[in-house]
Amino acid sequence: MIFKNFSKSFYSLLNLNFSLLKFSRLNLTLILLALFFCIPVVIVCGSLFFPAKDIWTHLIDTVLTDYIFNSLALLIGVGFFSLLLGVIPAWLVTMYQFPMSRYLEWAILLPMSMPAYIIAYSYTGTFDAAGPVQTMMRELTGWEYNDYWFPEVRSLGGAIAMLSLVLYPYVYLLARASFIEQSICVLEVSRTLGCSAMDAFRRVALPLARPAIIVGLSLVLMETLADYGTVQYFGVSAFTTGIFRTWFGMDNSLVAAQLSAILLLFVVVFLYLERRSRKQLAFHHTSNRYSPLLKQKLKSSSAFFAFVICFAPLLFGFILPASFLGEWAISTYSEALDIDFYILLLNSLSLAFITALLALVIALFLGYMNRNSHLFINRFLVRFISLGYAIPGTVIAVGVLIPFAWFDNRLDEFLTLHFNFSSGLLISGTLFILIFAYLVRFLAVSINTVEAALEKIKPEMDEVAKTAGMSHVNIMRRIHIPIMRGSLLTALLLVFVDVLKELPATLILRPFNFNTLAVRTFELANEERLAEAAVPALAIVIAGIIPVIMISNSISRSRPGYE
Amino acid sequence: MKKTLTIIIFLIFQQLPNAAEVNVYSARKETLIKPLLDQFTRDTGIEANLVTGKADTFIKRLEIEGKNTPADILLTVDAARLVRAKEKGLFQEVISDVLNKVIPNYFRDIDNHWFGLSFRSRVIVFAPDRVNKGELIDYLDLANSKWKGRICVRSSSNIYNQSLVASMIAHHGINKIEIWASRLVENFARPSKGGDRDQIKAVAIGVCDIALVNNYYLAGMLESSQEYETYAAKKVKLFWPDQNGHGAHVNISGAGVTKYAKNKEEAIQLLEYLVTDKAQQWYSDINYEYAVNPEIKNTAILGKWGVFKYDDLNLSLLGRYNRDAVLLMDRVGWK
Amino acid sequence: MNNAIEIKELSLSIEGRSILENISFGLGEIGIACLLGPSGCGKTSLLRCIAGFEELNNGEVWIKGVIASKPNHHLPVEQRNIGMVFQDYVLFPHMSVTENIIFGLKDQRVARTKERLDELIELFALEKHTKKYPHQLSGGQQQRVALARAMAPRPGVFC
Repeated sequence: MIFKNFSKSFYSLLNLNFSLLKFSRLNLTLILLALFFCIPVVIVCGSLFFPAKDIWTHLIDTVLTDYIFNSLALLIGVGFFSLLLGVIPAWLVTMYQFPMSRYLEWAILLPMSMPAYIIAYSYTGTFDAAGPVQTMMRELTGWEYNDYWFPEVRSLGGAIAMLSLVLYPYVYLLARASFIEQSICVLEVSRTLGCSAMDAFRRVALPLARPAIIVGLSLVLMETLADYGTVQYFGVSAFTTGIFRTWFGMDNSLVAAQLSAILLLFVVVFLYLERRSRKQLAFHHTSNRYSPLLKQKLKSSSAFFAFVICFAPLLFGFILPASFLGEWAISTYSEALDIDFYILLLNSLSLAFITALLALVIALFLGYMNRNSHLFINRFLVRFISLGYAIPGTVIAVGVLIPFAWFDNRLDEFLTLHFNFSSGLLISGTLFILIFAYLVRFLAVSINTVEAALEKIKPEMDEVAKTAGMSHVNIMRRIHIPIMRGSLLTALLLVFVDVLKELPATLILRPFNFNTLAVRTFELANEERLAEAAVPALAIVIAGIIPVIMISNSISRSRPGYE
Repeated sequence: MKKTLTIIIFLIFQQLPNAAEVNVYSARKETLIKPLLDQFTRDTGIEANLVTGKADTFIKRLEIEGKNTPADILLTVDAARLVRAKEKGLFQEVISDVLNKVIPNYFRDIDNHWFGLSFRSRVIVFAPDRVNKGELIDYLDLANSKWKGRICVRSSSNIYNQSLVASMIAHHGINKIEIWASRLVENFARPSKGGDRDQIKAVAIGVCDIALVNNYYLAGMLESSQEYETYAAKKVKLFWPDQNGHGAHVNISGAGVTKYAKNKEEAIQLLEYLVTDKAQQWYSDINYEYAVNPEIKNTAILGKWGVFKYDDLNLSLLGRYNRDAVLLMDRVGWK
Repeated sequence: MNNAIEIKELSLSIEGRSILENISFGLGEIGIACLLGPSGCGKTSLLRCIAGFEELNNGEVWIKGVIASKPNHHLPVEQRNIGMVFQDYVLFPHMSVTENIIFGLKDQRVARTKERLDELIELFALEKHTKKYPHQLSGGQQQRVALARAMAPRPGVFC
């Protein structure tokens, strides 16, 4: 009911948008909105104009090479593995039928509900030198610590593994949405031209899905660069730990912001390459005739392989860590489930939901603005906003705190001066600033997803509908939205889960007496009270699971022709 | 629709003013400070509102918020940060007979901007089956090559290590300590990872033979409900370093009243509450920290460990040499 | 049999609904045949059976003397050497006209494909469009490319 009213007002607003001229008032408002979100990015980049030579000399002499090397290693490692773990199962699950494929379809997304540092803690707690596995090994064999070799969980390699395991679902999700949305006819044509299944995948399906896959990959890489909890716990010196250290340890926010700017450089380079390759190809739908996607049944040997390939990421990325957590939770749940916990739960869920909704609405506005106008400034602004994702939460928090506090202080001065009335801190210190920080960070997710979806809708479709007399609003409602529904829900889900897991910005910006599950988990885990951290951690995971299932179903259903 | 909107707006802008209250920015974890605050509320009727986080974050936030900060008290777990906050002009002077009477002068600021509430020591834990107690002397000795591959210490990004190094710089000068630190790093059994408890566990299972940790972590593990923690803690022993020299390095958890506190009276009341016998005893019994009030008797584990000589270096020097310490640790590769 | 295509008592049901019942006919070696019928009568379904996209409930499909479909035997589409043009052409949007046309050729090396490619480009008058992408072509041009593409591998049967 609420949704219906909401959508009605939403659509009428859009109607306004389309019926005015190109550089209309609404367009201007949208540009201002986009600029608003760019502020933290601007502040971070602006720091580059203030040289700080002696600190930089020190950094270059000591730790900078470590930061660069480790960050690059993380990017390459995580990028490679998440492609592998995401694309292959996505294809298998879309095209074939094999044991449990119906469940694996959505189950393979489950690691997405796990924060990276949680999975890091659970593997460390279990497989570390002092943990139960190695301890048991030593007891059984009588070996001492130095007598055997065991992979070190807390290492660069370990960090790559942890991050890949929780980030591959981004690639999977987008690859699968793309495979499903592809016209079946393209695949059938390739078969009449002699392509085996592998060939069809390699030469047709994969290239067509490339924009979506690259979008997923860029999200993964940006998330990797922004991770702090995992690399910090594993003792890996990456840019994020360096930024924290410079900021806090050396009390030098300027240089820390400059380090962040370098971080952004990595991201910008990659984004540029991606955009350039996509320019030439307009990946519209190739055909509008959809037939039901008949999944091929696999023979037992291939079926087994397919099952293993799809089950392994799920096992290592979710089932194992969840069971470790479950075991710890069982031993502590009676104390952990008190009234405080339920308040925590409510806080986390409502915060995540509100942010996800806002992010989607704004992304749609911006996406349509970009699609209908060919003004360079619009495209540029949207690209610029997307950089927010790469900035570590801490940096955004301060990049957000500065302008708002400045605004609050100026307003207060003004009011005190003219009206003898002190407004105090209106905005900073409330949830508004926290949500704003979330949006700055996560708008990229919904924008990318919405844009990838919009790209698939031919402008000609609109024209056909217009000649049939449909208004813009109706076009959106009856043609675009149903086709994009899978992607829209994806955007909603991704932001929701991200906010639930978000840590550094929440730690810094949250108002008094307001805690989230993520904050509680982090604090407990950092005090090395992993067992107690398990309960709130599991709560995050469980809360994140339901949207995962929802999303997965709706993607399958939104494919036209699905019976 | 309207109702949903109102609820949303309400949730977002919830800043309803309260009766008597005090707002605390705490670098102390919630579980370690909230019980005290709750008790305070019960005893005085003043609401205590809490935000936890990192001290550096709060210092940044206080700087930015300026006049309009909602915080009345900044609570930290280290002296260097208190000094830094004072240098940035974030505290105000507090004249309180109670505080001055209870807290020894080396545990509080000379201008009455901050006050220590409890203190702890950075000690050496060792595996008694692999290390003879007689081999241990002080911190400087840890650079000796006999310890090669046998030492575990957490990361240099941790403030406790920074303050330890700062205190050593204060005593011996940068050049000597830089040599010491680089030899210390060469003696590491593994690159720094994990927290103090991890180092204790590492000693217990044989990754290394000695470690530098804060004493309350060891106490916490001995009393832990997790079997693997008590097991590990029992396998190591505590050594008070430098008893024939300056004494073991100590650091405080402390607090100050913010310069623009709106609830100054209530804030001072809270500080005075935290040095009452009741609260101080709580620090000792529950947190395994030493009360700043010398009259308080230490029971249980702290009592068992007995009295020790501690370094009465002026703690503001921990703040003065913090930056030098960080740069030094970077130069020697202490990650 | 010498027929290019032989259909024997073919029956097809989709989800319980009977689409084709007991169809039998043969098509000679060389020739053009035309399927006529009102919309919805199953023309496309029959073609899809021949191509191999649908599995039969009953009956047999023979292509060039080789059994292609039988209730328990099904030769995969890619092995039937059938050229097919779809109703809306369905060109590969990520490939140029040239790449689309040579897609089905076994040997993708330029030296081998050039001759066949030139042949088809001349036949369909596509000289000016070889480097273009499908979205840059008109409907008629797309149709010609689709035909060229389907014919390139010299299929035995063309539909």
